[in-house]
Amino acid sequence: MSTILKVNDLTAHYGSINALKGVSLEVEKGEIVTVIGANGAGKSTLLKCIVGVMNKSSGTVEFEGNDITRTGSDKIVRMGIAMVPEGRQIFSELSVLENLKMGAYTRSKKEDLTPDYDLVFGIFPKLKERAHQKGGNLSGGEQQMLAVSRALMSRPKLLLIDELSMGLAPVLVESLFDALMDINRKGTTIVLVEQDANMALKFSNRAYVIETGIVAFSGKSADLLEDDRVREIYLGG
Amino acid sequence: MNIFLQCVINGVALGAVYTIMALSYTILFGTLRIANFAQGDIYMIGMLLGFTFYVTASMNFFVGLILAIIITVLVLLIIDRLIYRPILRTSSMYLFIATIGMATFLRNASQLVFGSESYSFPHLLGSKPLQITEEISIVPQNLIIIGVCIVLVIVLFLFMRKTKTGLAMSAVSMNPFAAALMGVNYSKITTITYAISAAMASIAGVFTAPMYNVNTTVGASLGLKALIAAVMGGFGNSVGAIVGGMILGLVEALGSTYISSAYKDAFAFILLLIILFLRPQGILGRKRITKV
Repeated sequence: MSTILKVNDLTAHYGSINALKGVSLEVEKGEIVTVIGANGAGKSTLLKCIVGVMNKSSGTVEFEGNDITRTGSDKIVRMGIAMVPEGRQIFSELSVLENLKMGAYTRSKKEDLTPDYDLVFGIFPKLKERAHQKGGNLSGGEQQMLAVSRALMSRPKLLLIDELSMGLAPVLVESLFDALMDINRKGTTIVLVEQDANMALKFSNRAYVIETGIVAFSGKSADLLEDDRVREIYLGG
Repeated sequence: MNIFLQCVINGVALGAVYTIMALSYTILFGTLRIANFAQGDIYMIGMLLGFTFYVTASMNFFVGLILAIIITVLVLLIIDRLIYRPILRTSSMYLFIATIGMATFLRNASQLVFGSESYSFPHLLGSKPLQITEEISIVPQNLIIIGVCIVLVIVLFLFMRKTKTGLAMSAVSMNPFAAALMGVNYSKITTITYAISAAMASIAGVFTAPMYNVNTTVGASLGLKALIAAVMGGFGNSVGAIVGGMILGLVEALGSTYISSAYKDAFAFILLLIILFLRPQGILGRKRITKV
């Protein structure tokens, strides 16, 4: 196994508020790693820093051995990191197909996107039915499917997902997680930020627990599910 | 009836100018949320450059037109890089004020370059009106302006719908954060948007030059009225800019004939007030719902 992502002692600020106070984590190729923690612990900030849409105060980020700490998000996406943002952030006036086309923005104009459409429509058949509808007219669950599919269109090696389950019915969340397993089996490494710790731990290999901007502890997901500290705070005892 | 039809023809020609300029405002506002109050003076610079190349330097019209477009685009891109972008990093309100200041600066700086007299720009196909019927006619230049407007609208819409960059501009306008996550380079999109906006304004400037006294103040009132057209239609909405531009042109032409030409410039403002009172988001604008 080789390391695909290495975050070293990362700090970040929103104005004078210190959102990350020195986070380090490593992700191996092919893994599903989850980052759990309470609201405002810095999980989303961490993902934004990795993909380059937020300024880091100190520390480093390495992707496949390359330092991307100061690299712009447009280049980072091109290198192979994609992110599914919190709240889905669909382009509401664009159709489902156009949203997917935007997902493939970094790919060459000459490339045929048909295999990619087939791939995402295979994972989420519902999207195919809605291909020509506006993104804003989809249901919350469909929008989340679209957000995941859109991120896949850049053929990422590393997929960052911010709050997959937020605001969705449990049945739907379950099937979305199944889809993620499928995507992971096809070779994409996944880092998943979640408030639904139970679900996230069940579906991941390893986990980091973040509390107020630092990694409180980490370990195998299966072990954390049994860990008293995790059970007490995040799994409701 | 003949008078009415004549007014409509004149109004459409006037509306075509407002439409092009309203589009040049709205593409900037729609994509980047920037209202550039100096847009009328960008139009003026395009017009005076066109005059300089075509009349003063007696160049071929199309060579002069292309040179005028290129230089006008460069002017706006330099303004963006040196002034607008650094200011935008502090606050969008400061940028708003800065664009008003820029309008005055450009007007005065242009006087240094082009002088303060008024010039006249020859009609491209002669100034003899073409008779449609015995009592209805159209000046060839107006026909050209309407044609240019139609071509620009088609090219702009094809660009926005059919090209990757156009799609990215729409994406940025809807959700800049998500667009960045797709790998869109915001700075590059900003540059392209300013370039399109300046190109449209300069094209309008050169083609309408024969209809106006060519001088450095020509952009001020036209720029303001085109802004009104864009806001009436729904600021940031391209179809709205066309609707707003045409309505404004028609109302001005009909109003100055049937009511009084003394109030010609007032119609735009009265219309704006009425429309914003009835529909604050503009004719085709969407209500902005602010999430709490």
